[in-house]
Amino acid sequence: MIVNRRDLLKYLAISSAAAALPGQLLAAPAAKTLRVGLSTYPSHFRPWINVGYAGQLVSALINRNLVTYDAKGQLVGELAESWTRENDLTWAFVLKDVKFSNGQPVTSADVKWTLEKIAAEGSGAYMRDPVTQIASIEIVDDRNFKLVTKAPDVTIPSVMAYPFLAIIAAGSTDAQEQGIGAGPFTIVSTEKGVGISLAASEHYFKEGLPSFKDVQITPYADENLRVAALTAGDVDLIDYVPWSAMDTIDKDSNLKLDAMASGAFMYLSFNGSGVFKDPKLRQAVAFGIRREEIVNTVFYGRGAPLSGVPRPSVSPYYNKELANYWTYDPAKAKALLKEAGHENGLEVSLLATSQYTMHSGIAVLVQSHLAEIGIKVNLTMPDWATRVTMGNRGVGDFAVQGIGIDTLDPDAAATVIDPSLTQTFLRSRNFEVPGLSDLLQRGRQEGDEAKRIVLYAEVDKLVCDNTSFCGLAYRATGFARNKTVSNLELLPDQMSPFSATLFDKLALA
Amino acid sequence: MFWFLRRGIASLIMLWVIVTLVFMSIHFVPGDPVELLLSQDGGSADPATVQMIREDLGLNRPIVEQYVEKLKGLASFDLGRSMVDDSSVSAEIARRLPRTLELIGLAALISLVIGVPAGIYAALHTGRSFDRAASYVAGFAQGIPVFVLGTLLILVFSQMLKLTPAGGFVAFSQAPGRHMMLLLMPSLSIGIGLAAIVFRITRASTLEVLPLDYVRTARAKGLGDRRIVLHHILRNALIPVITIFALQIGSLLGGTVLVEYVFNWPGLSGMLVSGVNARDYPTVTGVILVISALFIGLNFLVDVLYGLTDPRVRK
Repeated sequence: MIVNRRDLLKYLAISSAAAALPGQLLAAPAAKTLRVGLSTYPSHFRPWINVGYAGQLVSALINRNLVTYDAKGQLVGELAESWTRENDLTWAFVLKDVKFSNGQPVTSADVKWTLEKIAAEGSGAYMRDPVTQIASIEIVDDRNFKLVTKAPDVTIPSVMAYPFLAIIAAGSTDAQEQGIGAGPFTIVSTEKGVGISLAASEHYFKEGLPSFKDVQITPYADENLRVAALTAGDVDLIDYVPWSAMDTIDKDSNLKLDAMASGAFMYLSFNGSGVFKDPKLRQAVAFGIRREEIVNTVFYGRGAPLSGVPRPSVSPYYNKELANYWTYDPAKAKALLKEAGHENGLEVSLLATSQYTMHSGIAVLVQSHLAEIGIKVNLTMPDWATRVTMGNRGVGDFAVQGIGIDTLDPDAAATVIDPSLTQTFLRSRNFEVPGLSDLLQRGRQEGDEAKRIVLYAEVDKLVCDNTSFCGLAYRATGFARNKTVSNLELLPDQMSPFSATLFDKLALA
Repeated sequence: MFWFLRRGIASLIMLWVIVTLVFMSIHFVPGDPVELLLSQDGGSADPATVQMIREDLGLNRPIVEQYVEKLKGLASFDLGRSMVDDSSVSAEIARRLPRTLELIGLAALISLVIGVPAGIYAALHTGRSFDRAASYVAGFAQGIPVFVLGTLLILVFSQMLKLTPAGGFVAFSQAPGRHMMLLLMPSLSIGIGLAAIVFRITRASTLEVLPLDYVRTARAKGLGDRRIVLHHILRNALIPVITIFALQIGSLLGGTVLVEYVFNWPGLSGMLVSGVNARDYPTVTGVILVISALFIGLNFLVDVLYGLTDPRVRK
């Protein structure tokens, strides 16, 4: 049989129509199921190890902490009904009459078991360090327990609100890695890289919540596909909305963008084993960068300059003057270089990664900005895995970093501003800021908020003057949804990437 | 028989070389799987914990010891467990390989259905309007990157026309119709480019065969056009097509990564990339070993097909 041109065109037309026709019939959405397009499939479901924002979203749907933040940034009880500071070292907690998703009551013994598992050597738990500051956990009865700390610590309630500090039913992680939590949903099935099915927990303690039966989570690693899945109606809600797509989503009448301009943030850390041992040079860098340009270029205008220590604007510890400390001032930057004996310029290496455009884009901008004041920057931009290892080994004179703050307590910033802490790729190293660790320690112990505010203002001044941390830009956090999803609230400012703790209130039309 | 045995031993040696190269290169590339595991989205790994977990995973042992351990595991068909989530690498490959194979399979089918008839038709009507138009289209299809084509397909069929889902995966057993809809666009993205290659090779090969003596003899004997094309032209013209096609299919085994990424298709290539990003050594070596074994097997199959298509090869 010889196919002629007419036959060929006919067959092509028929096969195209046959392929396209079933699409509309087969892409129908399921009712009463919230379909979430997630940026990453969590690498595991272990409750206390940091699995990133996407992993925290899943964790927030199946687990609950003792304490949490509301949309206004206030600490509120979640599994805990109340907490009081009995003395400098002792915190007394009272649990609500609540149940895990298997119907078993949440007891003091479960809390003790959870905290002991986190504090265990080699647990890999994200919150191991602060939890090891708890000397003992005294069980009074099923719903009353006391935490006795090694030193006075006013941050204990906010520590209990940290992501990845969920209370899990004692012993339940032996049977399944995620254990049994007390969240609004339970995991029904998972398929690595394909999807996660959740079902509403009948034992969830908030009356009438959750308001829908199931959640179907599909990972879309490609941010453009994630947005396409939302606009095509494949999913109802997506996380980590790309900044480039925010305007388009904003303009789409069928969609709603929930964004917070001052979400997680980007900054520079310094390695004091080279020229940046001199605080004047670190300051010169901080005054030589145009932060607005970073926001507009890298984040499509969806963010905000970070010109001081990151403090949420809703926090009483926010100090407007110190928050805008590092203004763009090339003359001052050059003067500082001269004072440091480098009036003819200097050459340094900047560690970043080529894997994430926000890191590489910022590195290139920093390079060009600093060239204008006489600092020649050589870029080292391997893939992310190599960059983490190089950062941990102390490669590079300074490095581009990105992080979110996990709680609204002012102590949360210590992890990025204090170079005397354990050396990791995330913070400055190999130099000291005299008095900083002591001030932070006093801040953790001070129970009077007014005095604490003064202490943290001193901390911020010290950090800015010594530039142990160089803020660059906040990047906007964005969730997007179609109009069938309502009651979505965001946590304030830097906490906003963790807003899934409020998703138990979501409603589906 | 001796030829088969020799080929078999050579294949095993090739696999061993591949495993060794992959094992050594992934271990010598900077990046620590444990540090990465504990350092997601701003987490910072405690060095003491990192050391403890490295100890547990056996990463602190000498590299030669780890290598020997790996070979022992492979000898018993054990690909090890993922360092990220402790899942069985073999089980994960067994789950993902069929997805990649069906993606490649449908893409291959699309390319053959379009490329071979169009190539023969163009060769038989060389210089005519179809030939010219098809050559232009083939040039365009071959030149457009798969991720661009994939993104265009999503834009048109999912976002504008809302005919198909944008991407994702549903098991065939759960929803056959939706499974096929999700498979269609990624397969088309690969298949269209592949069809252009098949078209060009078929056309060129047919043109080479057309003036040969046995075709003229067949015509002189008074055979019909269909018989001449199917039995005399096609059979001989397809040998280079099979060669190129098999090589293309083989390279697709690990090369569908862009399509899998763009369409969120959870296949083997995506697993390999995730494994490399997480420095998940067992996953990386396991996936590459399986892909290599398939590639070597495919080449062997091509040799057999040569023999079946052209009896002279068997001599």
